[in-house]
Amino acid sequence: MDRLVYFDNSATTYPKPDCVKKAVLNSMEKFGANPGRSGYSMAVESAQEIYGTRLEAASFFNANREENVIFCANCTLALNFVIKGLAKKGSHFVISNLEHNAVIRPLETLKNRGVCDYSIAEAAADDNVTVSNFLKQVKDNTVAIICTGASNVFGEMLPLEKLGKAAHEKGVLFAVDAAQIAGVESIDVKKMNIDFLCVAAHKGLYAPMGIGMLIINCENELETLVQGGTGTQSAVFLQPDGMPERFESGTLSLPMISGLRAGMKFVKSYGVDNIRAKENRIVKSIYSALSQMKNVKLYTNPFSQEESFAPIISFNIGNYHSEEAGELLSRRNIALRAGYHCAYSAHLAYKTQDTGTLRISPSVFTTKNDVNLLLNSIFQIAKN
Amino acid sequence: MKLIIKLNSVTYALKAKEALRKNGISSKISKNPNPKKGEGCGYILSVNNANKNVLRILETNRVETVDVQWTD
Repeated sequence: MDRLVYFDNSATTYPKPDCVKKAVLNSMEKFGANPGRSGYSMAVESAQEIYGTRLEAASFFNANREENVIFCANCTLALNFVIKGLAKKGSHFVISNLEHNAVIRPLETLKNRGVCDYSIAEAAADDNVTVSNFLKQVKDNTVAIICTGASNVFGEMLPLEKLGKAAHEKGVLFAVDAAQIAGVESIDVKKMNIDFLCVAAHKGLYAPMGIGMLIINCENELETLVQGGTGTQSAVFLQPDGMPERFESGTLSLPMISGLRAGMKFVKSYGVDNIRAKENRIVKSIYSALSQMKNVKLYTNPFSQEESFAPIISFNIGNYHSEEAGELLSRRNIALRAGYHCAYSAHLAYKTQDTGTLRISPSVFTTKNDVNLLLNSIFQIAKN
Repeated sequence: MKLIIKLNSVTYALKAKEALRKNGISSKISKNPNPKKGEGCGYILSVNNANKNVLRILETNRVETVDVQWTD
C-alpha cells in the first residue's frame, strides 16, 4: 500500500516531531504521579513539569502570568470556558461570520435557553471595514467580541490587533479562537489586546491530540464551567478562586502537556515566521498548479492576499460535491478535509454551502514529493 | 532563620520556588503537614537562612501566600 500523503494539518498536524513523541513517552515513565495532589518527590516533579509548560506557554504568547495558562482538553473547551463563563442573563456577544461551530454552538445554545444573544459581523477585505462592521454590532450589553484568528476553511485572517484595540476602546472584552493560527502566526496577547486566547495545541503547536489551552490576559473573573477536585482548599465546598486550579478540576493529562511543551519548543526553534514562510511557499506552488487545471475552482489567492490569509487552500473539482471528490482522493491515499469543516457559517460567507469544499493544509513536514502526488491526483480526477 | 511559607496550591509553590531560584535562593516544596481545620490541602515552601528579601521577591512576583512563619 502506498504511503498516506497528508494534507489535513489544519485538522491536526501529522506527523508529530520526534521530540514530541519522546517527551510524551518520557513523561509517562518519569512523571507517573498525580501532579498537585501530594508532596512526595515524583508528585512534585510531575507538578514541576506542568509548571514548566505554563512558563513556556506564557513566554510563547507573551502572557503576563503563567498561572493564567489553563490546560484543558481542546480549543473547543477553552472557548466554552470563555463563552459560558462570561454569559449572564441579558448579555450580548459579537462574533464574525467565519466562526467555527466551537463558537457558534455554545452561543446558539445559550440563546435558545434565553440566557444571552449574539450578533454576527462580516469580515471584509479591508481591515478597517471589518473593524467598523464589528463595532456597528456592539451594544450597551455587549460583554465580548469573540472571533477566529483565521477561518479554518478559507484561511482568511481577522485583524486581531485592530479588533482588540477597538474592543477595549468600547469597553468590551476580546477573545480569540487561535486554533488555526497558533504556531503559524506570531501571537502577542498584550500587543493584540487579547483578553482570552483559546489554543488548539495539536495543530500548529505539534502537540498530541487531547490538549488545549485557555490563556487569560485580564483581571476578569470568569464563572467556572466545571467544578471539582483541584488539590487545593479541599475543605471548602465552593470552587476555589486560585488560578489556574479554578479552571483545572480533575487530573490533568500530563503526558499530553509534556508533548505540548516539546511542541512549543520545536516551533520556537524552527521559528514561527519560518514555518509560515515555508507553508506559504507550499500553498503558493499548489495554488499556481491548481489555477492552471481545468475544472478546479479556487476561492482565495495566496499571491495577492498573503499577509491576510493563513496557509490554507479551499477548492472544488468540477461538479463533484466536496465529499465525493474527497473520497476519490482518499482512494489515492491523499488525506485532506472535505465537507463543511464544522464551520457552515464560513461556507455561507463564501457561498459554498451547497457543496462544501476540499481543504489543503500543509505543515513543516510537507515535501515537494507530497505536493507532486497531491497535484497529480487532483489532475487525474479533474480531467474527467 | 528558616522561613516557612504556606501556599494554597502547588502552582504557587512552584511559582515561589522559581522566583527565588532566579534570585539565587534555594527552597524546598512539601505538603503542608499541619493544615488548619477547615482549610484542606496546601503546600509549604521552606527556605533556610532566609531574610526579608525572600518576602520582597515573592511580593514582586505576585505570589499569593496564605501564611508565613519564621523559625530558628
